[in-house]
Amino acid sequence: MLINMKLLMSIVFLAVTAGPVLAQETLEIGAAMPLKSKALPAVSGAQTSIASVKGDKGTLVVFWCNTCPWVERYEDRMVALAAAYQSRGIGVIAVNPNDAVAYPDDSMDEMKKQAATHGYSFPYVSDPGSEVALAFGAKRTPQAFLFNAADVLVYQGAFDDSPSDAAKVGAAYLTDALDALLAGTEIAMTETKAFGCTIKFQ
Amino acid sequence: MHARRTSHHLALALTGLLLSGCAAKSPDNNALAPESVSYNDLVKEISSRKGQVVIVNFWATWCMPCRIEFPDFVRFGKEFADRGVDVVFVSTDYEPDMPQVIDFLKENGVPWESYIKTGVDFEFISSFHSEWSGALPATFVYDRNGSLRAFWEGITSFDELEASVTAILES
Repeated sequence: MLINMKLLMSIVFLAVTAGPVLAQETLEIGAAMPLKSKALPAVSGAQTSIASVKGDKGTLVVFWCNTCPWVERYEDRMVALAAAYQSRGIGVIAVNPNDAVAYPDDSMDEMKKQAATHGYSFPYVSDPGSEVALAFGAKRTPQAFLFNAADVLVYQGAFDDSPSDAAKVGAAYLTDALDALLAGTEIAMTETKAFGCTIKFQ
Repeated sequence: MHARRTSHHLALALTGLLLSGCAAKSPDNNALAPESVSYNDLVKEISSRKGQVVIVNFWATWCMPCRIEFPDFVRFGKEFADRGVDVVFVSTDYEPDMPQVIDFLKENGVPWESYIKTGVDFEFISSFHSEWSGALPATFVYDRNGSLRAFWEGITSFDELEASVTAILES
């Protein structure tokens, strides 16, 4: 863990002093979905890939975990959003890239409890080696990546502008992007940011 | 803001002198409510500290790694103050969480002024640095000329902070 953190620090240090570093770059809009066929252990006990949840209209991949209070604040919003858009042709999957050895609350057993407690209607998978997170260039939880039907990235970023309080959402970035995707119109904001938890890379 | 910080130091020192002789200063007496800052305010604040190496640490009360590393940053700020290093804490909590922010600053005995961000998160993060994802904790280190020399997301130890800042101090 310490080595990974030091590596990340040196990478970002380099990013400031020596230009962009490809390994940690977040996927750009228009990029193809990486590692979509990789088998990932799911809370169901099965192996699930991102491709297997692909919807007719698109796929939403959300980096998620058990140990981030900001994820906790989005539990209800995530469940409601998934229910609303799965029925409209959007596949949904939550990926936990955190190091479960260093953070036991992110273990598969705990993930199963979390999925059951909140009634997830979507697969919740772990990400051995944090390989999917690295391939996506994901940096934090929660962080959403929305792909169109051709598996091309059309939105990346936050759910909305009010992590602390669902009642005070002013800009619903992700649902706006989903609605635009389904309507076949231009997505107004394709990349957004929000405060969140660092990914505890394995 | 920097001038006010110096005044706070003086006031605290005088208070400490008045109370000295019987007990060490209580951290509670040193804590200051954070000042609200927009992105522009913060940039001006960093700029006003030219001549110092400035470490800006973004944190939140809900962020466990932030809470874990925080005491090391406080200790670092105290130990490196006479080498021309300022540690600037910026809470990313929301206004209703201000009591918890103040409690945490008190618990950690932060003896200098700190800040709490205002404005839309997305705009604040994107404006502050294009490569910052918004993940917390996040730390930015500026040299004496006010140029950004390093930033990272994630937890830092005292030793790692020392290695990073010493390289900048000696460059």
